[in-house]
Amino acid sequence: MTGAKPRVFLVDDHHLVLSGVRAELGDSVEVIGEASEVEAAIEMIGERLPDVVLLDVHMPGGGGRAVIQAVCAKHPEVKFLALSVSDAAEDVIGVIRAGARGYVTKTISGPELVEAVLRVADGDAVFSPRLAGFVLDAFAADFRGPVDPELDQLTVREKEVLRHLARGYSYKEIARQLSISIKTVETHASAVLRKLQLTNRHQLSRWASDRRLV
Amino acid sequence: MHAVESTPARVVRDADRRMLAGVAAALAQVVLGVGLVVAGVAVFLVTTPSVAAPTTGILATAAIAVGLVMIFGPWWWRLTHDLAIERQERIRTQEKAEVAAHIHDSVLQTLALIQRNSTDARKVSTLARSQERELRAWLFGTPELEAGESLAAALERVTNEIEYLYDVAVETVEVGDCPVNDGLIALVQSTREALANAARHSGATSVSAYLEVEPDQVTVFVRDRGSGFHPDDVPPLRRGIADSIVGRMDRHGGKAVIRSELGEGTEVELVMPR
Repeated sequence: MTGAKPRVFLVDDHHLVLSGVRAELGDSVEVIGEASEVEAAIEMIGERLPDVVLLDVHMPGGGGRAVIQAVCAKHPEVKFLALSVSDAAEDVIGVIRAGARGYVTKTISGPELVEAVLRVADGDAVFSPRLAGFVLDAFAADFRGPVDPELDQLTVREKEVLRHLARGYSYKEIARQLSISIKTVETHASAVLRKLQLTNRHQLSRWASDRRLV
Repeated sequence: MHAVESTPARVVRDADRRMLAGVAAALAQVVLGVGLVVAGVAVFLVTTPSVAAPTTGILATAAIAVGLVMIFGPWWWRLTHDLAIERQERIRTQEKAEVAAHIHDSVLQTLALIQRNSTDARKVSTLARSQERELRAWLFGTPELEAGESLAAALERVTNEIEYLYDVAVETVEVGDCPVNDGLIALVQSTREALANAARHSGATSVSAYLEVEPDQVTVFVRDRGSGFHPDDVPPLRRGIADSIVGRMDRHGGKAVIRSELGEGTEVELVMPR
């Protein structure tokens, strides 16, 4: 941890949400700006280069994905944390594969939101329990096609970490439960995020609808 | 004073009236066209000098026919086009009426309840959560499944019930799904008991439930970060409750493990083979 407060930029098309999030974040971070439209967000982020961008998935004009894709092309060092009301699988996976390092739902508590922002600022991944559940489900599905073990499969340890995350364990609790260090837990989570972003499992966007068929 | 019809109903009735008028006009034109054809054929037969040389007569009739099409064609085409537009408008209006009805029914009522109970924070939270879940399912189209068919749906019903009865938040994560059988029904019932215990005794305001369906077994973890307990400190009555969870799982060929630490919380692990 560098010690300096991370510089955070907020993007959401609901003004009430913007002011609410600002209040929740408080003094732990430095909020350097906010935007409520995709175009304005892309421009301002490109100018001010924050450490972390907290952004909503659903916005007119392409949504959070459009912002991530446009900014990542020129400034890959800016890190994105998706914040949304929706936890529909298609939205979650879509925004992660566009480049977000994590996803939290808007019902998250203030302290947990701050922790998530700090974690993303450090370069680590953030998994809400539901996202962890999605990942387990997606990687358990049958996969036809050439399998790259580096990208298309989870290791036993990674599955254990994900399972505990899905059960609502914090990183500290997982570290204690599995008798490993918090840093190791973070490493596993980041590895899973990378697999999620790069895997060739094409059905990743369709698996959610398939899952509904019992 | 006369009753004012709601806007969607009035618009739909006007659309019906317009459609009937359109149909009537179309019929009138068909009758007219048939009449002209009959008249033309009759005149043709009467005035043609002989059957051997009908060419000029046929040409004349053709000219009349083309002329008629040119006169009535555009009207006919515009009529069918307008009918199609009317139908689309009506469907759209009906859908809007459905949305309005749903929002009136559930969301507005919940908002009214929230205002009335605004001093009771937990009640407000419960109302908001249940309305949020319902609206989310309606908007993002989660299909309504019968509890008897899907394990995930059965579990959701149980968690909704617990949330409502005890004013606690239940965070559910589900990985995989399958149809229920006797053993899995026992699993759902044990889950309900574990959730109720957590709601009643742990002092926590939120409980998490995790369901994982694997090819050979189904696992549920119910976890709270409440007061926890030490097995020796549990009075006989409560121990009986825990036994009923363990006992029920055992009877159906599964198992239950309850882990708890004072001050840290409790986790109940339920496993049922498939």
